[in-house]
Amino acid sequence: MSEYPRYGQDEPYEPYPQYGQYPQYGQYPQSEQYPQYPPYQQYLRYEQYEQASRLVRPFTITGGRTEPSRNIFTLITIVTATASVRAGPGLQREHLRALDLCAAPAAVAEIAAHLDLPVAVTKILLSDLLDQGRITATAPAQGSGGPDIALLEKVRDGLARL
Amino acid sequence: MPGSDTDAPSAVKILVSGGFGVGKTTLVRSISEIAPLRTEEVLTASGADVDDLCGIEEKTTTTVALDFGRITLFPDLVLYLFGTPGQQRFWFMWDDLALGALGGIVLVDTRRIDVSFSAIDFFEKRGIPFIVAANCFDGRQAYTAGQVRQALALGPDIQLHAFDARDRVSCRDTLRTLVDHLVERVSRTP
Ligand SMILES: Nc1nc2c(ncn2[C@@H]2O[C@H](COP(=O)(O)OP(=O)(O)OP(=O)(O)O)[C@@H](O)[C@H]2O)c(=O)[nH]1
Ligand SMILES: [Mg+2]
Repeated sequence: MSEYPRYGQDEPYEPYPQYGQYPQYGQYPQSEQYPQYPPYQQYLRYEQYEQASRLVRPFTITGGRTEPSRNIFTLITIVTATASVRAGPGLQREHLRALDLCAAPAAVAEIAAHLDLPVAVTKILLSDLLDQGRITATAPAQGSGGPDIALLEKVRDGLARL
Repeated sequence: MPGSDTDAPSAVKILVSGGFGVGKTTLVRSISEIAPLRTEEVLTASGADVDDLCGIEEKTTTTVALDFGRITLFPDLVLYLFGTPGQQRFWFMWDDLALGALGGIVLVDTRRIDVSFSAIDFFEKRGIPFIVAANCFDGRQAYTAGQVRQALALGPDIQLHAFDARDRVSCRDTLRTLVDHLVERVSRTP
């Protein structure tokens, strides 16, 4: 005769083994207490949370600001450092790195890539530098007026020389 | 523009688009004078844009990464090529990417044309002129130009160009095809 209870034979069924290393009957959480598998929406929320915290961190560099002081920068606005001033009030390490990166004219997208920061954060840092006169900004060649035949011809001629 | 400096060049951009793995980065790498750079932007999608996915009405932020290259055309004019992300769903909301683009190149892999549909859609919706460039993956095209045109439902005014993204000259010629098209398009409209 087996010393172990067989399922359905000896009621009430006690889970085994019962040597103290497992929770005693009643200590197991009721099934409602087990964490439910989150529905798909909750996975998404978690993902969003993760992403949000990943995104929020860079904005601490900007002192929590999420908008630049001037909304003039685009991905291809060219920024150029005006002087090699190395320090100043309110300049963070990232500002100085950005200044170094635009010692030669460079697009906002390039500065962002080299800083390894989102474009939005980079624009805020650059607007600080522009406010202080440490950089100049050159607007994209194509203005908001739409296509410009002279510009397109110039691009065409430039490509023909490559 | 405040703080404008006449000595610095100004820039133009062209978008290189198409589904995942169609050769966008390869094209940028082939023709760029710098190794392709990668940058990302934080985008906010409204509930309406995401609820087909998950049924929740709320704003969601997402990062979109793209790679880009640079071609100095003249001392005072620089061309940037932006490869749009192939697998991310939200890049088309990146206004700064779309605004002011001279034009776009939609890359298609003729063995799986469908992955580039949404790129065509994007340019059409944004009113950005574009050409379609079919990448020769096996050194040849699997389908004729007519078949590709039909599959993509391309109008007769949209140019279809065959090229190899690994070849610099071929990439340059693709860019030239686009810009010739842009020049012609502007000269046509009075
Ligand atoms: N044979 C051949 N292979 C190519 C060509 N263009 C790209 N490839 C290859 O195709 C693969 C994908 O190319 P990518 O340039 O990374 O494609 P992508 O569009 O940037 O891809 P995602 O950024 O992931 O959307 C790489 O392994 C390339 O080497 C081509 O013209 N011919
Ligand atoms: Mg790529």
